[in-house]
Amino acid sequence: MVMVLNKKIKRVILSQKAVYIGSIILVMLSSLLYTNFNISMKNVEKNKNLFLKITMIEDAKVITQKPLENISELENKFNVLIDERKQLDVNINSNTVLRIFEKTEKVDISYIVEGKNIESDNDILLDPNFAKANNIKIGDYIELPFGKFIVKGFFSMPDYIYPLKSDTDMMVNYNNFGIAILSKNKINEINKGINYYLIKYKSKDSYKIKDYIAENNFIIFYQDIKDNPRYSFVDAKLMGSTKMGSALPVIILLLTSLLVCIVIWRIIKTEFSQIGTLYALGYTKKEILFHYLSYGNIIALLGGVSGTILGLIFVKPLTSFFISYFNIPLIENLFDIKYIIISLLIPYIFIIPAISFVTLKALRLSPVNLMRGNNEIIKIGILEKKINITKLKFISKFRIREVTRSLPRLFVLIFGITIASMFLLLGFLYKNSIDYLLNQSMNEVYKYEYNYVLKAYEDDNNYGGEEYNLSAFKVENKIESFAVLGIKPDSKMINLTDESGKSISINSVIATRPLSNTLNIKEGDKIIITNKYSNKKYEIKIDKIAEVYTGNNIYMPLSDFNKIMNLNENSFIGIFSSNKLNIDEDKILKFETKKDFEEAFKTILNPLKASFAVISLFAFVISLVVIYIITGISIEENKNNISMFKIFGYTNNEINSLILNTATIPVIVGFLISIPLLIKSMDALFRSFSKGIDFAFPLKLEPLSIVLSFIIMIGIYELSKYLSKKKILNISLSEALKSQRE
Amino acid sequence: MLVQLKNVNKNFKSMQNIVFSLNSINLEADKGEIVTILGPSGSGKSTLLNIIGGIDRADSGSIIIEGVDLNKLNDKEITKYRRNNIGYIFQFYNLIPNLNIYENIEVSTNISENPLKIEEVLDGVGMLDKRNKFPQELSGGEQQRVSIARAIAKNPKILLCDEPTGALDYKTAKEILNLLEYVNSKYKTTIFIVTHNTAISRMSDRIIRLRSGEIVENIKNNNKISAKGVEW
Ligand SMILES: Nc1ncnc2c1ncn2[C@@H]1O[C@H](COP(=O)(O)OP(=O)(O)OP(=O)(O)O)[C@@H](O)[C@H]1O
Ligand SMILES: [Mg+2]
Repeated sequence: MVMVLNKKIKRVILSQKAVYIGSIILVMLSSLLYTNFNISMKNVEKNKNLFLKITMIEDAKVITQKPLENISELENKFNVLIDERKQLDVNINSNTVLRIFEKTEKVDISYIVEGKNIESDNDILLDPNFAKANNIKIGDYIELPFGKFIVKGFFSMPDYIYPLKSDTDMMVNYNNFGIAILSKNKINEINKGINYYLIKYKSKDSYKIKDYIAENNFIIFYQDIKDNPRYSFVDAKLMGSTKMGSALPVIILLLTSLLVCIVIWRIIKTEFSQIGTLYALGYTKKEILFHYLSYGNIIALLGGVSGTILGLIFVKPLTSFFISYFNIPLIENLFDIKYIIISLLIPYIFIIPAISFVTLKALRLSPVNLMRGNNEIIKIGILEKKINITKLKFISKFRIREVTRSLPRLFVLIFGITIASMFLLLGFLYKNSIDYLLNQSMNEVYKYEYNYVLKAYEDDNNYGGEEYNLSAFKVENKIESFAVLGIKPDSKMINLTDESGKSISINSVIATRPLSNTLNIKEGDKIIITNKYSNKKYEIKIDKIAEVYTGNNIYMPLSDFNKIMNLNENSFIGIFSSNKLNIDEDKILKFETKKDFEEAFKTILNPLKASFAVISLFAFVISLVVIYIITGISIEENKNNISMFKIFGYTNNEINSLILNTATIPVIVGFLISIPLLIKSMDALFRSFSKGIDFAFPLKLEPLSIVLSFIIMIGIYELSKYLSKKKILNISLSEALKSQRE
Repeated sequence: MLVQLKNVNKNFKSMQNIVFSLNSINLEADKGEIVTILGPSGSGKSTLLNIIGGIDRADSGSIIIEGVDLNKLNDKEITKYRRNNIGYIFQFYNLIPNLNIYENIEVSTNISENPLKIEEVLDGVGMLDKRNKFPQELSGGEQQRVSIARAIAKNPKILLCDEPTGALDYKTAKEILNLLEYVNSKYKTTIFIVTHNTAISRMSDRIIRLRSGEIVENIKNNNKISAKGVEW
């Protein structure tokens, strides 16, 4: 019996092709997003874990005063692996440092990403990102102070996944810093740099080795791997993307199921008398429900399968994209079957309840009522009765009536446009914010062109420029470290501003916006900070938060800084300057220009551009589908009226204007809603995942961008109107003549 | 002569076969006349009415309305013809459910060059007090009144009614006929009424009878009575 019913499914679907294709596309998009994001993230994570396992990542690093004796005895006693490693920094040119490590065999083993491993003492391995940034290829020679080396391959190393030059740095800069590996022999021959031990625990009690070394030797430096930002940043940075990856598909699916609700309700409405007849004939509710569920089955199945397949296809590029932020090799592509199954099921989870809801709503009516048609159910809404529109022109009245006729439809239309507009605005928001941020940082806050950090404190500044002092700190339970700077109260080089854009004079303790986000502190908070070098703790009170978007910094007057740190009154270690200074190379620890900083910043943000292009494409598809489907339903429902308008002598243009323009106001409303919603949600998102990134997002949306997005949205609206015109044209005059009341 | 059909033919084909045809139809109607078109189901009444209304096209022949041949007009011109000359009353009223009564009338005044005052028309059909109601809140007869008001509000020269009383009971049907007669005398509108109901022809000036697409009778009614007197 049910088989007979199902024959008509095909016919109905074919008659509503556009609606079906649109819904399938939306489901496909969300499945695609879901599979792609989650599997890629999982892939990154699994590759990372595999990589850490293969390369025997250390559990701790230790620098001792005397060399460790009887290493193999220690290894047995504490059930650990110990490897000794030398490292030294080499200046390749005035601005670029290469950190060279000794090749290890047991712990923190280098993993060859491309090319070959070291075979002779003249071979060198390089960090692939550094090589790329500096245009070095495998087989090239590089000149170092102690010889010429041939680049044999590119490598990754587990304790340098995020290759920061210093623990206190926040951003990698592949242009200025890279890591390399030389053979044991060669390093021993060079015999420079520092020497430390890498320890890998093999049992629960292995950590006790620390106490043992402390007792029997002397620990100069000891770092647990989780305190190593070069390792632990990766997780923090991947988190934000994962969140986005699960939220977006759910929102699109929600939209799709609402749309499907409306579509199925429309089908059911035209079939009321059929349902009533079937009902009266003795079909059970269940049978009728299953019949209507099969309409959704097709959407969920086709959308889910195609989306999942597409998602899988794009796993590799997305994984590479994420991995390229870090120095993790893509060892193998690992597809987590769990996500594939979820991705195929999720559309059902949304669509089945949606269809059941509308079908059961119809089935609550008695068979008699159903057979009589739907006039029972077309009730005039309170809204329709109440609104007073007698003064308006007919055309406006008609549109208002049309829009308010089905509130669910109005809601879906606005919701869809809001979502799509948010996607559309996102790219602009991003661009405006970055532009603002860079402009503010580069031109308004940091007035210096050159920044020198010396190797030791000095008391008299004979170099020129403006001296400042600096040290690295962290707070308990946070891996992120930050700088505290003592600067001149009347600094010409650093100009901090508050929310209203007014300059803040440096006579108190001021934290930057990104730091306040990272540490979750506000004005007036007292925090305990630990010096990273001396391990001394200090309590400071944050007096003000400066609206500066780059730099995890705390600023205070130079004299206060020196007093707290127990330094001489005029002590300084750094100099800001607007022109190049004449300082002895040997005295300089670090030298950076503002341009370097800007470049580094831009390279980090560049890859994001591609993802915004993809998101804009989504915006386009979603809004087109939503407007087209809603307009389509509106046309379908107005078939009789349109035909009648034609009989009355309305021209096609007049009919188009009456029917198609009804969505104008909802489209505009949806767009307007999207602006504050986007800013609010992005603010929340960035707050949650910009922790640990040393810039805050100012979230600026220029009026021009809003206007442009609006024009694009209206363009999409016009396009969907254009596509719908044919439907109106095709409605024949006889429709109204033959049809009974609907 | 307001309406003049000369040798009008219209075929309906399915695949190759002609399933129905109107054959060499000739008829005339003066301004202000009431014409009834009678005939069994499927005889071509609606088809003929639609051709006169410019809703359907004839295959050959000429349909001359105030000297203009509809068959020579293009789609745009024929739309304009309908817009300015034709009022249409459907068997099932075809009111727009989500517009109230007043707004339903505006549907036609909106495109008219010299519409009548909506209040006046509504008053004429006795529906002025229901102007803010919605169609579903009205009975069938009331809905048909509104539909008549809608048709005449744009002040058409020709009013086409396809089974205007077909869905109504006796008493209501008679009220509608009264109303049509009133419209005819007040606005001098030429009215074509398609009906199964032979009795209705007694109130008309001209009676046309169709059978299988051909006019088998076309007479002037010399014993025209008022709508009140029509009984069946
Ligand atoms: N668009 C069409 N295509 C094919 N055949 C049609 C079309 N419209 C009408 N016909 C056929 O033409 C014939 C006349 O139809 P018409 O609607 O004019 O009859 P009628 O006299 O109005 O009948 P009724 O009293 O039932 O309304 C019918 O046989 C019908 O099937
Ligand atoms: Mg008919």
